[in-house]
Amino acid sequence: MNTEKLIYAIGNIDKKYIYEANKKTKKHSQFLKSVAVIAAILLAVMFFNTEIGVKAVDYIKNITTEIFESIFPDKDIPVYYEGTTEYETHVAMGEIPDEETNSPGFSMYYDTERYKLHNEDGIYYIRTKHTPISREEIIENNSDLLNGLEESEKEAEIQRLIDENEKFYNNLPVCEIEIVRINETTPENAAEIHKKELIQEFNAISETEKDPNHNGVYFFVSDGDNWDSAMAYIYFIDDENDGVFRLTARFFGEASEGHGNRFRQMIDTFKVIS
Amino acid sequence: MEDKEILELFNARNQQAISKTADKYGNYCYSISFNILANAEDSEECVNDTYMKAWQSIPPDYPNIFSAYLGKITRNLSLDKYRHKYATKRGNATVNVVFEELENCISETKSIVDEIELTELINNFLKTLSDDKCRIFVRRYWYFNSVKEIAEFYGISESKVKMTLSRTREKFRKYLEKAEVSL
Repeated sequence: MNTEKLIYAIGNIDKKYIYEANKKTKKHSQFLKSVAVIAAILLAVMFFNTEIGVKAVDYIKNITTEIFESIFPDKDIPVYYEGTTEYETHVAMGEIPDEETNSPGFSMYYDTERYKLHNEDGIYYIRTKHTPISREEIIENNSDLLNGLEESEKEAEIQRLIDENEKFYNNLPVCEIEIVRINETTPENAAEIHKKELIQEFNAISETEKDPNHNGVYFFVSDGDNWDSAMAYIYFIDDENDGVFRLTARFFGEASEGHGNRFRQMIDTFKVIS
Repeated sequence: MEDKEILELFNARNQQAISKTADKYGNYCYSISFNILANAEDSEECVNDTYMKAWQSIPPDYPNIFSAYLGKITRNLSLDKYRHKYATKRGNATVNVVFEELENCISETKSIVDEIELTELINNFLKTLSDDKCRIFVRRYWYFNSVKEIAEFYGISESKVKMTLSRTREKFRKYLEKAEVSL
């Protein structure tokens, strides 16, 4: 009876979910994918200076997500964590080249299970999703402490632990990937300039090294060896258009094995679309 | 014919509305019904009843997504028939498995919610899922598709569908538990 109630309740879900689930999203043929991309780029090239062109470019921006889904289908990417390898599904994000601003595009896979994509004033951020600790987890993790308390004291203590946990989370250093495009520079130059900007902020800055996966360089910064010391890998990747994409993977000491590793594996999938 | 034009026929009480709906959505509704009933005759009957219900409801209804509107009617009619027909015996294997899977998502908890509240909770749960996971969940528990059908529909492996469903169910179970839902 209960399951039936659940089945009928599922029957009333928002119709957009029913509609979306009925669309075949994965089986686009290679031909259609190519046509979609070529059509989008041709439209931009042919019309970007005209009124129709402006609308076309807007249209292209709107369908960028769809194009990305077509060209870059979801991928199972190996994630190395504490000596083990797990394949986790990653989704592509990025931008197609913009003829109007003469900017190259890019693509990168990221883990939508753990991270969320943000765009703030044209800068992309892939940030950790915040999942607040549940009441059940608090009770389970603190059973010894809570068992000896009166009911009212117990409630107050649970709330205090929830608040403390939330405060702790909010005070953690940020974990994110930031993607910025810098015009008219090379990876090496951009790296040297950025190092000078970071001297005040971090007490350790590594040598600049060649990025084995891209035409570019990277270095590492940290402000100590503590569990909460801020750290970052900063990559400078040639955008094939006289500029650079700067990708900053920010995390903290304790998160270097988790988010730090995941960020670097995501950055390995970064590709310039010129 | 565009949905808007079909709906105009309904509004004008033009009986062509039924035949045009059948042309466009007959197979869709039939597949929903057949997934549940696994019986051609019963499914055809449910699909015909769907057209009748739509005829009675439009107007005043004016659905935004006509396919989902029809699908929902077909699903409910088919489930009602399934319940009536298999009240005392086991019916379609996929439906039984779907029931069992969802049964495991319900825990013994405190507050009682009605169907509307429950639907709202489910809508909120779906918002927390990625698009892919949401689609797979809906295909399983709304469309009653088998794992194999979902894998073929989206062009992914059956093992991926199984794993996604298993993780999503666990998330759903925890979500309902957290919401302290009792049915």
